[in-house]
Amino acid sequence: MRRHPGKWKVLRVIVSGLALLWIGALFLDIHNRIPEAWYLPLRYFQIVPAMQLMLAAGGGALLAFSILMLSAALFGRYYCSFLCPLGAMQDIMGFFRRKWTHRKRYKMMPLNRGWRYGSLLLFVFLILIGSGAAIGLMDPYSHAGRIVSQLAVNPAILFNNIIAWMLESQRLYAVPPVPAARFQVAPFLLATTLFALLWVLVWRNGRIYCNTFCPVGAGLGILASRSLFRIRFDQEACTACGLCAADCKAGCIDFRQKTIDASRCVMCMNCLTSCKEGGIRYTLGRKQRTRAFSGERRQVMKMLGIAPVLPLAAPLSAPGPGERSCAISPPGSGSHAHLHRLCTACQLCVQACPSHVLQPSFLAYGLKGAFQPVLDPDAGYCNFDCVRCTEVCPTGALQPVTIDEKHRLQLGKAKFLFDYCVVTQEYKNCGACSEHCPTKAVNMVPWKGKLYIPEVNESLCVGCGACEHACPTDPLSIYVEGQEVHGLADLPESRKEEQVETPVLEEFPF
Amino acid sequence: MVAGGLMVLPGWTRLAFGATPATAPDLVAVMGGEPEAMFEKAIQAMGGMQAFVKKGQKVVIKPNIGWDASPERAANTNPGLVGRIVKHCIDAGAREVYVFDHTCDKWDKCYINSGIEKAAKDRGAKMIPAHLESYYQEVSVPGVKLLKTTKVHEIILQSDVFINVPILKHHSSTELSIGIKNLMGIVWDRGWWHRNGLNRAIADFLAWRKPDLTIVDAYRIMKKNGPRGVSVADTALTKMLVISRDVVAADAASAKIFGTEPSEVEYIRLAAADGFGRLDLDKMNIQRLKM
Repeated sequence: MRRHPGKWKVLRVIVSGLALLWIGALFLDIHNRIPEAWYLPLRYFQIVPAMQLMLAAGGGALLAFSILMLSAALFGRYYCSFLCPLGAMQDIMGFFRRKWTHRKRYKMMPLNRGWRYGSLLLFVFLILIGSGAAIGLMDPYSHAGRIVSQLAVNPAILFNNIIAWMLESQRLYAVPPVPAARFQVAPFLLATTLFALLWVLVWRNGRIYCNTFCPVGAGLGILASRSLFRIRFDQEACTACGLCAADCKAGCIDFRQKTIDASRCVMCMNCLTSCKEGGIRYTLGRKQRTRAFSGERRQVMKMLGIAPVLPLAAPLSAPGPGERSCAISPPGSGSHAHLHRLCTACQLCVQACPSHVLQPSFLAYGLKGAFQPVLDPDAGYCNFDCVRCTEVCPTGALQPVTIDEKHRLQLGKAKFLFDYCVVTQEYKNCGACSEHCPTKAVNMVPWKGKLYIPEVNESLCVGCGACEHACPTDPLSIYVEGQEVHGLADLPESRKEEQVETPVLEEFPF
Repeated sequence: MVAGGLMVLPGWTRLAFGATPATAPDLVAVMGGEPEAMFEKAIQAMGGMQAFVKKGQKVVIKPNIGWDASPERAANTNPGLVGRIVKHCIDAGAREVYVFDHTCDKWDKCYINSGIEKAAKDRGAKMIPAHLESYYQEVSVPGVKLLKTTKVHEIILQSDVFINVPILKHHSSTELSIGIKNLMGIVWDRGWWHRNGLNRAIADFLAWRKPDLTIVDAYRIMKKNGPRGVSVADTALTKMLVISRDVVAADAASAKIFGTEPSEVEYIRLAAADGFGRLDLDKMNIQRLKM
């Protein structure tokens, strides 16, 4: 019964395996060692990031996005089975379905137009209103990113640490241990729910998610429904045995009618392997009408009129002492508005951030920024000489920033709360905030006797959160207030000065 | 105790280095050379590294690697100096030499960008991490009022010789960061120190353990905006090095180099008052070497 998989299926398995490994490696780079260049292809072969980047920057991304769309019209939905990380995850689930159950066959599925084009319309609507967070909740790449971030990063860290501890017991320090990633309830629940849902859906109906809920699948489906190359029946060779349909994860083959709904075909190429008669082929071949499209188009038009409106809530409660009223958005985002428009909350920057100051938000920005990255100085502080997040962002939500620009990029401003400080309350010197400040915007100035208290020069502050991270009091006596739009900090005096190179002492002072 | 036992120099050291004085100096200060060359002079005057490191011993070297900054910023100990110290330890027969710091900035960036990781590894030392609480063990500090317990890096407990290699810097809340202050980099719970009396805690910690040797890098010092510094303009070239078994004495001499009276620095004053070391530079046997 076992057949040799055809060349197309072998190619699909290899390419999608590599794509998933690649993307997985980027999200699991717990030592922050993968060079920037390895992140760049994401912008060009992941559809939603390419689309967002095109909206942000045009240029190369516009070309990349056009090529992705054009190629779908020419070759079909190859993205869904060759490049999509969520698709690859579902194929792995499908592999286990085959291994672990007796249910080998897939059934032909009726197309659920309401869900499918409803989700596409909603998606178009979200693009029009520019809600990156909501777009991200529909984007298969961002879903995959959140699943890996929430479900695979900590196991990877545990694995790394077991190796590290084994080596360290032998006094070998080649693999350092890594602190566990912070547990964030909302992103974890989101990722877990989707992951569980996918298992259920794949178990029941294969790739039904891709043809029911995924707007990328729906959009590509419209383009692919009349694609030049597609999987077609050879009407003469086909014996209507039904083996192809039984192996069709998309449930889009009607072997009795000898038709394939190309708009739903995810191009897994399984059917090419299952057919023993040469009755089904991926070809340029003869025109074959699919009945689906014209009817669908009418339905799409109808639905445009009733596009739903999403309530976009603002932050909920009033802040207490040491709690910011405005969230600190990552470097390169420029403003909250820019971040909210373009970020799909894939969590790549969160994983790439060496100091772990970047964390997935939940309501820090309000719902309109749900799951988008936010600086959390409790978890770390933004390294003065680091622009890693801006290098890895695939969507253009975080624009490139040079180190020199970063040194003056004002993400927020430090606020000192006199009434909670160790020095003012207990008359003991502390200065942890000022120690860590990269610009000395927080400086210790004489107060009473030999005591020094922090003084904030807001014009020098870059809002990195180092002072807040270091502050030992509870509630905090210094914290960073974010700003809706990033600013430009002044250059500290000593950065304008020259270094003195003549020795200052002639004699021993003792 | 280790330091006390090492005061008696073996005969062959005297032979190897010729004119070693009958009693080693309390403190050696060198001026006018490069860090490595000044250290060569200084350690020779102290009786060579063999006076501190015996064959087969484990040595831990604690430079200041607190910040993700390049060497010319003088936020961290000079990497060349650390490398040379490692070499002397290995040459003296050390079985293992460990170098670490509980950094303030991200630890791996500090290790790399300070240049210390490369310098130490090239000379045969192991750079060990200190960024997780699991590396630290709770110790009790005897006979002190404030810092009764604290968590110390296990490698300090497991090593035979502890060499402290601070850099002389301005510090925004404690005036200066030198040798005693550098010991904050072997403990985990520094926030508690800040929260409950920084200067008192720094001085108290000496009751638990004093380093066997303190080598102060005062080649390029941070004159302002310490301890992190903002730019190279915060530094001044002083071309000096101080070495002593007594960390308090080393701090006192270094404070003078900075231009501050040692007794004006609260934790130095407290440490001397509690008998952890000497402040009376004028009564010490000091060797001053110019290059």
